[in-house]
Amino acid sequence: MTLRSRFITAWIGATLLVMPTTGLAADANPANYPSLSTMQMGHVRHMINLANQLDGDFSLMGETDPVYYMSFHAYQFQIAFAAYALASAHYHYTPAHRDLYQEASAQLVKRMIYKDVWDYWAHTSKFDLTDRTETNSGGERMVNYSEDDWYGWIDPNIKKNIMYSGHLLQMLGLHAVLFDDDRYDEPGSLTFRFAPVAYGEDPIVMEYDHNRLAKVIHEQFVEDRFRGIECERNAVYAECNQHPILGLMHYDFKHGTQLSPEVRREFKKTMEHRGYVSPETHTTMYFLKVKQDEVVPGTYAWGDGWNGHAQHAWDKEYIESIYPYQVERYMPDMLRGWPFENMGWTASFDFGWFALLASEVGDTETVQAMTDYADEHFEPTWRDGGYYYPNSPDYTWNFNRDWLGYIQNVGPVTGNVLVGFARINPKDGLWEIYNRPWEKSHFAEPYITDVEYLEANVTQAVYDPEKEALIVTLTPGPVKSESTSFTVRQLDPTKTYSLIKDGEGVGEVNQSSGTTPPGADWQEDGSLRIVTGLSSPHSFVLQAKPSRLAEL
Amino acid sequence: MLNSRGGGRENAFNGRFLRNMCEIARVFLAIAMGLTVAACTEGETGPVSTENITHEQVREFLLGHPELILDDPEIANAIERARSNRTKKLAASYRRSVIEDQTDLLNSPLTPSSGETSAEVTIIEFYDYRCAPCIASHSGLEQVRSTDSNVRIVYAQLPTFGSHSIMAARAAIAAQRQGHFEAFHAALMTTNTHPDIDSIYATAAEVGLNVEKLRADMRDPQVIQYLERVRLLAEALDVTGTPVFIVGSAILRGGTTADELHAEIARQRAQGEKMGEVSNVTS
Repeated sequence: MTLRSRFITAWIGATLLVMPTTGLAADANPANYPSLSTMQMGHVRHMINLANQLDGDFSLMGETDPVYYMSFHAYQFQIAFAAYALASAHYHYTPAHRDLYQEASAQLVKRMIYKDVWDYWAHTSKFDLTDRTETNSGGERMVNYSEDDWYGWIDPNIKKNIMYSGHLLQMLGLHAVLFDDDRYDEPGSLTFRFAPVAYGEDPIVMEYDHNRLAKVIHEQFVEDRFRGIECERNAVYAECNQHPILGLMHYDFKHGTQLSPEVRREFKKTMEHRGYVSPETHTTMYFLKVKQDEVVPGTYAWGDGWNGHAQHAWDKEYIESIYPYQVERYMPDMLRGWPFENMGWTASFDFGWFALLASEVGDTETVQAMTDYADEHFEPTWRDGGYYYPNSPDYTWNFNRDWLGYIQNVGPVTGNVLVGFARINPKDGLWEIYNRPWEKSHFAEPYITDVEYLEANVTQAVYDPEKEALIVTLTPGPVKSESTSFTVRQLDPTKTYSLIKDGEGVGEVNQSSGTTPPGADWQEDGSLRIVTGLSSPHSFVLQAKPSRLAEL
Repeated sequence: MLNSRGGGRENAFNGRFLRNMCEIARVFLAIAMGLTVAACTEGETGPVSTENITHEQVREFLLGHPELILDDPEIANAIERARSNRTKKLAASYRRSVIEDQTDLLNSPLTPSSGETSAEVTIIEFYDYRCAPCIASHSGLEQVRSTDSNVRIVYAQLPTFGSHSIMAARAAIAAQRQGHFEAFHAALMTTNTHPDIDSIYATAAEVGLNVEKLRADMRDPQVIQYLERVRLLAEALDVTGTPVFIVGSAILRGGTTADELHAEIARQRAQGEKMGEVSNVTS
């Protein structure tokens, strides 16, 4: 090598050593991170709108069904699955923006323990749902249960009714893990109030908390020898037992216990031994009649979807192994049939829950087909920034296809929650939440807060620790605004960050020196406030610049 | 004794006289007894004085004759009314205690109100600027405000109709901060259209508010937290929609008129009802 070439080589090397790396290394690109689409954000907003309704206001949530028949459109299912859908949205798209979801989660728990949601149990607990007799007019009526406690009981959690308590447990677990929020560990944090039995008396009060609920449910699994906890008396549903299992998984994670491994292992044994999922048809049973020890087989898309999407979170390979049989059975026949064909009472449920299963196992083609179908046939509606499918006016009794053979029956759980959940939930959505729960380190990372959610949607908020970059995208919300702001917290005060807006460098921020570009200000508490116009979407990247010493 | 040997005719007379006298006396006695019975039975068809009957006696009687309650529909209805009244009293008492606990909130500088805090009767109106019955009730409430100086009205924001309701509620509190709540409130309650963000700002400008300060205050966490406290108060009072008027410790749900409000106020005053006293309530 000549002297000249050695000089040039050395000069190039020295330049590389001292040159800042921004622009040379791979910058964080918002397009490379998950982002909620307009419709996904609409579904999120709709569920949050439902969560924020006043106590006792169940507008848009349909009607409670009579005691005789526990419909799957019941409030508890809408509330619970809304919580799960929002959990998926937060975990996968906005892990660095949690206050909106944390508040919504708490609101949903509050709604879940409101009496209108669970007080059906005082009556339902009196009856053996499976034990019916014919009336003189040719109908059916339930007979009273013959045990000595046929008068029933009010407490919706103490035993059976896993179709309620299991969901509550799962909701509590999600809240604790996703937000590192232990408020429901406080004794009495979940207070159930039942109407007074006699005039002039105080309400009947039942106090629970996360710990007590987990204990009560775990003990029932053990007491029932892991065959599953009953919903109504004498009826064990596989899908209804998935939710307390997931709830126990998160309970274990937060509290260092080992309640769920045994339950999963033994319940799976029971499922296999008793054929809760038929080895022939690969479909989930309808339910187990406990007294008669009889499995009632079923071939319902709702049953497979409901059970499968949740079991996938802890039994991924198995559910993915039977899914092809199920999708072949139900699709695409579910979507179109004979004009005016009576699809049966499961019409709406079949659609919603199967779409959810398809999303969880990653069958994006089916999810796309079903959500497109909903957009075309279910009269999608925008309301106060929320996107949903209103109930068909006769959803409680008219299960017929329309004159072209399309599904026209849309109930509240499907229209308010399930289709949106299927659209939001990515492949392995729940599996990741339950197998890769966030550690404490997640909550020490930079995040955003103080977003005016009425004005702005946060469609993307993620911190990439490898790139040391916070990526945020805002889009206009339901209330028009010329500008909005958000606050960034937990930036490293020793680091300098490049602020990049819509792909263009805006400047640098450094807390120690107080450096900020226009539109950004350091607050007294060490947070960084960023102001932006909001007539159109904007993305922001705050990426730490490596120090030159670190490079050397 | 008559002389039987020498007075036979006199003896016969005397006997007839005695017999007649006895007959007269018997009739007299019968009449007297009849009058006495009549006097005694007169009380059975009219009100009987209970001054001397003790509760213990009534209790003993009912324990011995419980079928009286079952068989007499009037008694059964009276018991039902008593039960209902007791429930209402308990509810009113509870509402009163909730309101007393929230005195700091109701007297907060952020709380729009009219009248003195020492007023005889306080009306708390929970409302939403996009709520049609709320708007329809506005004139009636205003009439009460202008005609009764011994009434305090507290304007409690309870947005229930979505994002623009929330914004309007925040704007109202922001207007309160600038001391212009009354004009702003009246303007929003008398408009023909549901407020949206543009009309909220336009209305603010029209009534002389500093719109930039209004915008900033609408985003102030203190304002947002204040509205959350009002919502919690509403929930504690079992307010599940709008409008709701808490008049003293009574609760009127739905749209109302000046006459209804005056009637409730008058009823409470007539009963001597103040904070801490309840005798007969509406729920």
